[in-house]
Amino acid sequence: MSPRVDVSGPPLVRIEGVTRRFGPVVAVDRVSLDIPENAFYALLGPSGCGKTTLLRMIAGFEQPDEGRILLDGEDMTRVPPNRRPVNMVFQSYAVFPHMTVWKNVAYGLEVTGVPQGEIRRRVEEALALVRLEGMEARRPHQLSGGQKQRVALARALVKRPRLLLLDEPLSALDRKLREDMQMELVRLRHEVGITFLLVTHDQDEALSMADRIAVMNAGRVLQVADPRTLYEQPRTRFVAEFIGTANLFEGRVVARCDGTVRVRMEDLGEVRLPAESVGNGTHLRLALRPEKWRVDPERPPAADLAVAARLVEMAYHGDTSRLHLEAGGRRLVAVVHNARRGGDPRLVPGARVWLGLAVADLVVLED
Amino acid sequence: MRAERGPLDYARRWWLRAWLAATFLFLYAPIVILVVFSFNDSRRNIVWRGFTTKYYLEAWHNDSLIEAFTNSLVIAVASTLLSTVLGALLALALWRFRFPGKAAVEGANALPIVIPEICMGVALLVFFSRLDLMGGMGWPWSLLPVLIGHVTFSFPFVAVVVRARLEGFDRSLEEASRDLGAGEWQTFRRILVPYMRPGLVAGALLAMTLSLDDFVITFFTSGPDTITFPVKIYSMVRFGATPEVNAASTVLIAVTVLLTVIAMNLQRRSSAREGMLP
Amino acid sequence: MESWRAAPAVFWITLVPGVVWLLVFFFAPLALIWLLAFGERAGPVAIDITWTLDNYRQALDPLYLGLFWKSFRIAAVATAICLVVAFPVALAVTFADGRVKPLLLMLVVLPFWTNLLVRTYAMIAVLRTRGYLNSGLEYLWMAAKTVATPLGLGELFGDRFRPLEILYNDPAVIFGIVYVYLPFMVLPLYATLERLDRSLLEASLDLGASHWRTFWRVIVPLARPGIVSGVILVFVPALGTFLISDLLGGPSSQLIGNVIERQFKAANNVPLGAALSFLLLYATFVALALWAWSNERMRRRAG
Repeated sequence: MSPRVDVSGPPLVRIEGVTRRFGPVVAVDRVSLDIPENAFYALLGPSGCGKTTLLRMIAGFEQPDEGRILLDGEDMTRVPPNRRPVNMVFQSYAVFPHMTVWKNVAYGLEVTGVPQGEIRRRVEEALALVRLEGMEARRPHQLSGGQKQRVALARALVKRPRLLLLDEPLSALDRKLREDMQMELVRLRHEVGITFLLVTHDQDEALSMADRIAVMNAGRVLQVADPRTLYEQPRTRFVAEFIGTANLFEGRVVARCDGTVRVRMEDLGEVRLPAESVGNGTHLRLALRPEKWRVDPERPPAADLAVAARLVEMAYHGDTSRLHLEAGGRRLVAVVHNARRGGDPRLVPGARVWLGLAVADLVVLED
Repeated sequence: MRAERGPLDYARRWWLRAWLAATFLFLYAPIVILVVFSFNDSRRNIVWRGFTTKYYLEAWHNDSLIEAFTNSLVIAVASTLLSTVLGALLALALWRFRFPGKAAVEGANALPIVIPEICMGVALLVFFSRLDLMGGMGWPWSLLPVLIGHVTFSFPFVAVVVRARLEGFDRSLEEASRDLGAGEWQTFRRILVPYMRPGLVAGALLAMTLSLDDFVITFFTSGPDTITFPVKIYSMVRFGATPEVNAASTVLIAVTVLLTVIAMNLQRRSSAREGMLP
Repeated sequence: MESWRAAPAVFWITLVPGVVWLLVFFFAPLALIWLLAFGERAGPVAIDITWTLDNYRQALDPLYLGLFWKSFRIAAVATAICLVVAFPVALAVTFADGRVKPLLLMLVVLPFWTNLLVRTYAMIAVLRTRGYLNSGLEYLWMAAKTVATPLGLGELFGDRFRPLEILYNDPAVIFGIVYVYLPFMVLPLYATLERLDRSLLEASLDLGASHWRTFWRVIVPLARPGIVSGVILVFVPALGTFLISDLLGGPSSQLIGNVIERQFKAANNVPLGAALSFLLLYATFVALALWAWSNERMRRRAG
């Protein structure tokens, strides 16, 4: 997405084997990550997966029990939060209720002894950046959720941090505002050239904004990749199911010959997969994204595998329709574009249809 | 415009309104009568004989009354300052920290609030006479026993009020401040103290009123030359109800009502500033 | 909340002043009279701690036990009256219009900020033989008589107004306690009723219950925490009251508080007074323990 991100160079943040326990609970379990300079990096996972704890350790509000956190190659693990060149936008915004917008933004500069003239210049700049000019004298309770969000952003950006941490920053906003703020954050990042680290449980948010995503679950990082790879090539069942929807199949190796492997997918039929994608086991798990199905009332001639199915239910989503189907005794999900096949009048609940797939769209999972 | 009465508009049922009116009459009539008759030009004190302020002048020229009033004010101010500091510190400790024996400290703080005043009064009386603090010292040191008594029953209230305020504090504000580069002391002074301020003001005014109002504990801890205003009124009441007592009581009512109104205004203003009120 | 070890200096600075103050000026004096309750008078001031139980024995003899019982009865009656009077008031304030509500609340709170002594004194002026209540009644009596005499009913009124003897007796003390502590009952009731979810009342009405049944089956059970707090807030100070019974009560309506006061002042029998104080203290603790127990039970039932 962003060509400027240089993954090969030395990372801005290096997290080395960090573990954090709360009593018997291991919130973060031996996590190692590199966050490249200039990235828009996202930590994505369900609530309780440890992503916020990891973020708070980077900010300095939690101490890791094991491991180190380096910033620009320097060990930050024991540095208190007020001495780290890292700033945070809090989930609740944490805008100081007893200060005006101006005072809120100026706060971080005042407490570190920046001269008055410079404070004035930088605060003005930051407020312009988040488009809050004219709001300087307002108090937080006179602001909308989106405006508070901008104050929190300006307040962090005015410090010119090396790394900006965003803790579920959009979760309190309603849908329309959330989409606007997503665009806004992407624009801001290009303008200020600061590395962003976003924590979110919302896959859409991560996919649309970040250029690198680390998926976490139960305190561990499962996969780090750019959004497209994450969606198209999930490595584990968790990632496949957490990001988007996936049809999962148990596969059994029937035969191996000439660099291809014949795999039986439950009772649906057999496919031939390239040997290098399968590995040596006899059992494997396959995933297929719902929109990869070719849904047709007639048997598709070109498909690698065609499955006869019955359409059980159909949910209309405007641009697409989601089809719930039954084939070989199990449920399948397919998504069709309404401008194309979804508009077919023969697609009604109860109809007999064919599902076709291309082997190239099947993903072999590691677990 | 009067809307139809909804099923839950209990406040618009006539019998409930009558009940409310009767209760307020019961609560206020005696006080109003007392205040009105402090201006009554009659010793007999029952029938209205015309307006006068002479009893206020008499009270003003009553040296022992003025002395008692001065004592009350000095004690109230000193007790308020001490109680606010002690109470706020304890509230901070209880709010911020987990520590062994915390439940015991919380219980110890609640005890002066709940035990019968007379028990505390006699305990302090015996304690101070054992320490030979009752009498023998010149003014204002002679006020010390009363002052100590007042602080002892006031500061636990302050601690409760300030802690209640602190419970509503969003800890992420503190983290935001640290994150923006402020040290612990700067965060305390610039974020926590402004947040605590309404609680501190409310606690201080509560301490002030408790001190100005207290009779029982002062009655036991005051000596002959450390009489406070309520204790003075008590001895006057024992001699009989006179218009001077009415006048003195009216002054005391005026002072406390004034303090209460100030407190409520301050509270409303600070909550309006934080947007808790429209 | 963090462990005290995270910032020990801050912890000690904030904790120590209050705790030390309480230890020296609250617990030490209490411990002192606890000790003195086991002492014998050895002179006008001197008291020897002999670990005698005579003081408690004396405090538990029928004379003082009767006084305890009487204080308990008077406090209980006054508390019950407060509850009956305060509940409709709290209800009215809760459901009042948003604009009048702050005013009503202030009207409830304001007497609480007015001096206890002044309010008790105001009661004297109202209740005494030649007080405002009797004067008002006399005025009514005269008016009624003036109207009745031409009708030949004048004899019914007697030839002279006989004022009611309503001061310096037990009812006057009860009246005074209700007058002084009523706000303590209204406020906790209001606090719980205010938090009560109105849709519960609507649900009850919707399911066919009358207002009366809704009151008893929904409002009262849900207001239990407020009722219990209010009862404690009135009952505990009423039990130990000394000023109200001193000023409004007659010679026969002395309560335990007055007896304690006399031991420490006029009678100068500190050991007996100490024993009585501690009995009063224990009685208060029992009331508080019942309150805590009730709270705990309600919390557990709520899950």
